[in-house]
Amino acid sequence: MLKKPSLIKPNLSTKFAIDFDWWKSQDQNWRNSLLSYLCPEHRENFASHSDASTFDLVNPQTGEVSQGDALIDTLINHCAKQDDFITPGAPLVDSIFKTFLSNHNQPLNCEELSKIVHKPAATILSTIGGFKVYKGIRPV
Amino acid sequence: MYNLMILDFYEDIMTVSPMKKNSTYWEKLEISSDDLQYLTNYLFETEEPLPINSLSLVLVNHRLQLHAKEEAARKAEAGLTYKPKESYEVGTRLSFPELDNITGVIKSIREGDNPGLGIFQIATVELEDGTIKEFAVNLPGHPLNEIDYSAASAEAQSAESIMKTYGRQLSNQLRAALDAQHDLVRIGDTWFPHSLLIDIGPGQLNIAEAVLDSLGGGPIGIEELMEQLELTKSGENPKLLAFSLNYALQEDSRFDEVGTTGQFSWFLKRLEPAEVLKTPLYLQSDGHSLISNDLDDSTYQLLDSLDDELSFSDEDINDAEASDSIYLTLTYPHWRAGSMPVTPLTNQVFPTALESDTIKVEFIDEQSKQAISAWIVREKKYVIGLREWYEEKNLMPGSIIGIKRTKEPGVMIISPEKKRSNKEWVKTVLVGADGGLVFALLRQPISAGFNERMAIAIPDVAGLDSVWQNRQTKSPALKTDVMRMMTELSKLNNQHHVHFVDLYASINVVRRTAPMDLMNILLSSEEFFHVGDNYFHITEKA
Repeated sequence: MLKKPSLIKPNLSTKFAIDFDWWKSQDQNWRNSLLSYLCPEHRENFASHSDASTFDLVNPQTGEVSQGDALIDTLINHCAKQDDFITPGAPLVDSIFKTFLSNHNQPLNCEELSKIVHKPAATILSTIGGFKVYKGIRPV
Repeated sequence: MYNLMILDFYEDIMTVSPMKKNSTYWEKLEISSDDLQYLTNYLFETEEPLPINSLSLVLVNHRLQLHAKEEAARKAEAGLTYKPKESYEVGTRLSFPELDNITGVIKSIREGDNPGLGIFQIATVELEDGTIKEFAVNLPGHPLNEIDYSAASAEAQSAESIMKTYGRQLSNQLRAALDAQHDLVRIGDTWFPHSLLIDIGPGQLNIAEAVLDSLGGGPIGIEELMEQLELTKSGENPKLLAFSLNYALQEDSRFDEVGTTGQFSWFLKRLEPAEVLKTPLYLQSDGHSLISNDLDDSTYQLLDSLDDELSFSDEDINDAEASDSIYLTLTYPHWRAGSMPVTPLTNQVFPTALESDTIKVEFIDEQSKQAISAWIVREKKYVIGLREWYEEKNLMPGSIIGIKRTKEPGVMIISPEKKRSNKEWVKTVLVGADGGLVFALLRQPISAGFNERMAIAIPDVAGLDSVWQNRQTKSPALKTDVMRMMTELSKLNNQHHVHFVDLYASINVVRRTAPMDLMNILLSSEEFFHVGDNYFHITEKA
């Protein structure tokens, strides 16, 4: 079940994360948008797979296999781990989105995000705490 | 939901690794009867008494050997250790170290499908618990390929590293287990089979008594006593001989072991000072209330700061960490008895002894370098033998004494806190002809630093001694004494408030009273009320 929009106005302490389910339901172009974040090697591999959400995912700790979205899995477990994944001077929403990909989508508030992307917490709050939702980044 | 799937991955990180399993193993180790049998056999073979730490090390090595045998058998049965980069055939048995070493058999193999991982295969494995799981194989770029399980296992299996981390816990467990059996006997913290002890006959023990008698009771070290008894000429293992003689002396009620930890020293019990064998009158207490954990923080700290031996359990005292020096405030009972309390504070500088409740020690006067012989009576929580020194230094109840450790465990340096000699206004006890006490503020000569609330001058020691003697037959109620003392002390200031510490020090001039017992009376009787900041007042109707 999709999470309904919260009626409580977010503040600097409100935790945010990427809500992939919500994003998939609201934006038909979400897959193309995600592809642009892959590293060159994986972008080529995924280019021929337009839409397949049940690939074999391998647990990095145990080697166990489960079924799921390989694109998100590869992004989080490989591409987001590369040194040049977060680039300075990138647009704010891009930087925040990449921050969540690189930390396994662990929720962060605007103060915590501010320390990582080096932008004022109030600016971050006004960007991701408003009515418009960017790349599925929503309060948790 | 993908968010949940990511969290699942984090939970997977928590699966038990071999090292973690190893640490849990030592934390939860239970000493079995097989362990005790092994240690007994070991001591039979080596024929040398061993201290508890060495026995613990023997035990750890024994358990590691057993573990290694079990591991070898398990590996033989478990087959290969799973590595994602390896290729396997259907029917191969694998073990999975990251899944608590569970084992399973490959039932089928198929091609993997993930554009992000390239070409790899997936093995379907039936695990030993009956569940079916899939594992990636033929996959070179997986973090598990980098783990060297043999190295982790070797590191975990160093007996020395185990003893470093768990040695204290294991020794405590082993000591408790050994105390509950009868094949091995102990002296101090050293153990040996009873049946292998060298026989020390009654004749030799009688000679030992005569030797100690000629020394005024002792003390005498075990090596010297062995010489005196001519046991060293027997050609027996000296360590075994010392253990056997120590054990025979320990089992004979005529002798008392009075050495500090690791140093066996013997004394003739009947020649020990009377104050060692019987608690001095001034230190005898009817009540014995430990400080309650239900008190609020400030009251708990107040009672704790008084450092009264009646306030603490043996465990509290034995848990004290050693320190180089401490300062102690004398109370009337200790001043009069020539003693000091054994408390968590003083135990920081006093020596320990595992077996003996009585330790013979020496204090060295820091100024004159004169040695003062004293006894620590741990069971009764006091050190006795300082009366003459207190008199020589003109100390009074409330005086502050410094005690420092030396390199020798049974020797401490003692000195009164420095203060220029002068006269100060001090609570002074005056004894009436009828035995009644009156407190007055009078100028008294002062020779050492003192605690203002606990300082009490005693001009008539003999008169106060008579009061204590007379009270032995009367046993007045504590509440009655507290009321009398509150009435006396309240006359010393205009507000008629009495501070708890003043009252504690003063009530102990007439009867040995624990701080908690006094606090209980004040808080439970409607005759007294707390006006704040540890001051109490007598209610109007009282």
